[in-house]
Order: sequence, then structure tokens, then C-alpha cells
Amino acid sequence: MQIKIPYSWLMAILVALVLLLFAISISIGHVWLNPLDALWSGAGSISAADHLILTEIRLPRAVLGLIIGAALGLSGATLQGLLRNPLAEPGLLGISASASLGAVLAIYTGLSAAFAYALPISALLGALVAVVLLRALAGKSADILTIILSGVALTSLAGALTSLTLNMSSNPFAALEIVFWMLGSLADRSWVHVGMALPFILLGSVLLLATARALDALSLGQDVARSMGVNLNRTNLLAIFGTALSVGAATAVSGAIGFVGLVVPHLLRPLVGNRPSHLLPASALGGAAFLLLADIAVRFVFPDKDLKLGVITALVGAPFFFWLLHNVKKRTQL
Amino acid sequence: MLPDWGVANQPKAPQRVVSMNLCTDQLALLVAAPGQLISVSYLAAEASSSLMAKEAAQLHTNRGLAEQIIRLQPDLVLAGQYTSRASVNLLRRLGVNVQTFAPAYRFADISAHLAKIGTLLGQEARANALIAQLDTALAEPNQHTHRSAPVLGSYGANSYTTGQSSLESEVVKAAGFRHLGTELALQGASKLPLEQLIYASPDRLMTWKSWSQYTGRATEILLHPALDRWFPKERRVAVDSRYWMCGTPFTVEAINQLKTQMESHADHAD
Repeated sequence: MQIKIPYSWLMAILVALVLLLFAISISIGHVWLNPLDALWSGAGSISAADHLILTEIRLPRAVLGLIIGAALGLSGATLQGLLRNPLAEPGLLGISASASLGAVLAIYTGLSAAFAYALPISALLGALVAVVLLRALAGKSADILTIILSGVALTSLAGALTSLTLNMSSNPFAALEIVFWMLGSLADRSWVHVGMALPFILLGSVLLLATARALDALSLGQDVARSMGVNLNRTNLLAIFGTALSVGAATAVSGAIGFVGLVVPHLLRPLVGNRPSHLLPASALGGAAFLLLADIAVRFVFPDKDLKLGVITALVGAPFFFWLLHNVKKRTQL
Repeated sequence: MLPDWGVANQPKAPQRVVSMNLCTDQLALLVAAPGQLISVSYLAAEASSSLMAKEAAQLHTNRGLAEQIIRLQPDLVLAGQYTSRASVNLLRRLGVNVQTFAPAYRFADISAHLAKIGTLLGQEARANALIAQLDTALAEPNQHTHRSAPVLGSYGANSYTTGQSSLESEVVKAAGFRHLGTELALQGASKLPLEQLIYASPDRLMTWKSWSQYTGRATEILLHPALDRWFPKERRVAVDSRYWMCGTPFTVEAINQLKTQMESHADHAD
């Protein structure tokens, strides 16, 4: 089904949606705070506690929701275009889980304590291993199910190794962390985490967006793309490093959050007329909106239960995944 | 209850006692006769968690698995109420006498636990001496906590604080302060998001000394910039968690240390 909506309108709507959700994300919490009060009438108009909470707790949280959601949406859209696989997504393909493993290794070997950037770097190396592995597999066989099943195996393996690392740690609280690394959360993150993730996510996003033209050509088939002068190796490398950088850094500060990269591109694809070059920026905005919404939901539904983000994204994403799987099967049988 | 063997067959005190919980470890180490206790949990031998690490290191240490315990051929096993229930149930099925202890929630529980261990081990005299000491120490002018007394709250890994009806609240109140978890009417170990902690704004934030040595996701919250800004050094009290984890005669030390630390803090503030 094609819905006629000009691309510029769609982008404007998405930007407005992201801004609205960003504002709500800053306002919602233990106490409802109006960020405009602090902004317009100066810091003196609100209590010191409110000011501290707005600037040091809620603002970094909202910024992380925005950039991490954008990274996940964008990398999902790129992977789907590159692998020409509607089910490709960092969470399902085990890229997020491998990034988690990298992050956990950096923390529990003490590397991240010695050098703060060791955390995102180690996480993106974990993500890189996963993407390279998947790309190699997908190169041999473009079969959708092979790739998805490899992702399942990789997720289990990375999860097991993460669990092993946490169990071996002398830190008595380490074992409890497994939930965070597998389901993700933005609770009580700070500007330190923004500073850690932002440069890598920005760089990764630039690389991913650079694949847009090639993905347009690739949607017509590999041979057509080649004849149109698309350098497939370059596109591959851009997508691989772009995904590793953005998903790796995102996972290092938020844990693995699944389904964002799956749901968002699929919802937006009919609205952009199936053009990857339009889909990529739209998916970044859509991912940001989706994750901000999920992060608002975890605070709205069970404010005191510290619900993990992955719970919400999976509640929405898993039924969607089943529906997709059903459709893909029907299509491949034809 | 011990089985009644009748007068002719006086119950012999158990000679191979194994403890599998850090708290019962320390109580048993205090009460048992030399040689009576043969194994304690590995945590009891670690100086970071145990106040009797030296004594415990002389003994065999266990990791609380049924297989390991059964090979020690114990005639009495002491466990915490929440110690691996699977292991405890298996040991009971295998006919081992396992006695479990609930965590101590108030000072009276410490005396009760000492008395129970004294009876079980046939060391009533030692246990009673310890109970008498404890009662004297705790009987000191128990000044009614003033309504304007500073509020003290604990904050630890994963944003946890402790609620009312806990040993922590008893200790804080006995030291003459109001307890954050009690004021907020929290129950048990409760998660307190940073936002809520800042709004509750206790006069002093109590953190656990030993936890600062760990790096990781769970303890990262203690390094949050907002926490540092709202609770600068002069609003912090770092206490030694070993004195607070278990209800033992050492709990008296927790009260004294807290008083001393708060007094020296007050001096600085003046």
C-alpha cells in the first residue's frame, strides 16, 4: 500500500514528533517538570533540586534516547537494504549482543577504568566482529533464514559469554547486571555517557548515510547496481563500520535494545516509496521517536519498577516480527 | 526444637557443624567450641565481607553446594533463610539436620539467633555471655530520636536503599538519627531512583566503603555527577558494610562508628 505524502512533509512531521517526545521525556519522571519554566524564566524560578534533575539526569537521558534510537533505526534500515533482507536488524542479528559482550569485557577486565573510551571501543569491536561474520555468511548465501538463524546463534553465544564474564567477576553485583546488558535501560545515565557515545554514533551515522545512493541502486539487484557504477566493496565497508560504530557505542551505554531497527524501517518504508536513500534519514528520526516513546513508557507505566527498555521494544517488536515472518514466508513461497 | 532423647540418652552436642551463610558463619565462629565448627562459607574467609576472616581462614570453606556439604558429613548445618533453597532442600531430603535463620531485622533478632545457635551447639553459656554483653551495649541511654535529628539514608549499588523495619534503620536510629527509608516508609531493600533521592534529600548520604573498589554497571550510579553535586563530600558518610550486613555482636560497632563519624563531620562543618 502506498500512501501519498511528500517526503519533505514526512521529514518535517518526524522532526516535530521527535522534538515533542524529547520534551515529554524531559518532563516525565518521579515528578512532572516543565522544562520551559527553567529555560524561559531562568534557573531561579525552579528549585535547585528540579534544576539539577533537569540538567544532569533527564536531559542526558533524553539525549541518549534520541541518539541511540536514531543509531538503531538507521543501522536497521541500512542492514535491510544491504542484505536485501527484511528481517535484518542489529538486535536480531546478534550485533547488539556482541557489543554488550565487548562492553562487559572492557568493564570487568578493568580496561574501562583505566581509559574511559575503552568501553565504547571494546563494544564497537564486539559489534564489528558480529557484522563481519554476518556479512561473510550472507555473502555465501543470501538466504534470509540462514542469516536470521546465524543471528540467533550469535545472540545466544554472546549472551552466554557475557554471563560467563559477569559470573567470573569478583564484583558481587555483577551477576545481576545481565538483565541490563540483555534488555537495555537509560535510567540514571549522565553526560559522561553522552560524551562517550555521541562521537562514535555521529561518525557511524555519517558512514551509514553515505551508503544511501548505493542502496538505491542495490534495490534493483546486485548486477544492475554494479552496471550503474556502484562500488559494492566500498558500500559494504561503509555499512559494516557504520553499524559497528553506531550500534557498538549505543550498546556500550544503554545495553542491547532490540527491535527498534526492525520495526521503524518497516513502518516508514511505504511512506517513502521504497527508496533507501529516503528511508535512511527517516528511519533515524523514526528510531529516535520510537526509543524516546519507549523510554517515556517505562517511566509512565511502572514509574518505580525500573522496567527495562527492551521489554517495551520487544512487546511491540516481537508480534511485528512474527507478522513479518509470516509475510516473508508467503512471499518466498510464491 | 531438638528431639527429646530422654534423660538416659542426653543429646550430644553436634561435633561436625557446617555453616553456609556469612551471617551464621560469624555467629557460629563466636559461639562454637574449638573444633566443633568444621566449615564456613567462603565469604566468611574474605576480609572484604567478613569481620572474622582470620578465624574463618583456619577452617575449611564451602560454596554452599549440597554435594560439597554432604561430603563433610555434618551433624548440623546452619543456613540463612534465603541461602540457596535448592541446596537446603536437597540436604534435608538426604537426612541432614539443616537449621535456617531469617535475616536479623532488629536488635532482638541478634540475641535470638545467638540463643538459638547456643542451644543447637550445646554452648548456652558462651551464647548467654555474648547476649549479656550485647544487651549492656545496646541498653545505653537510648535517647528518643529527635524529630529534628538529621536524616541518614544509605545508597548503594543499583540505586538500592534500605527501608523501614531493617537492621540498618535500627542502627541509624540507635545512633540518634532519623532513617531515610523509614521516613519514606519503604519496605526492605528498595530501589530509589536518583531523582527521588535528590527530592528526598537526606541530610547525610551513607555509602558503603567496600563497594567503591568495584567498577561496573551496578556501582556506576555512585559516580553519577548529579549525585556528587547534590551530596558533596560534607554530606557523605562512608561506612564499613561488614558491620551492617549481618546482625551479630559487631552491630554494636556499626552504631559506635556511625556516631563517631557523624561527630567528626559536625566538627568540620562548624
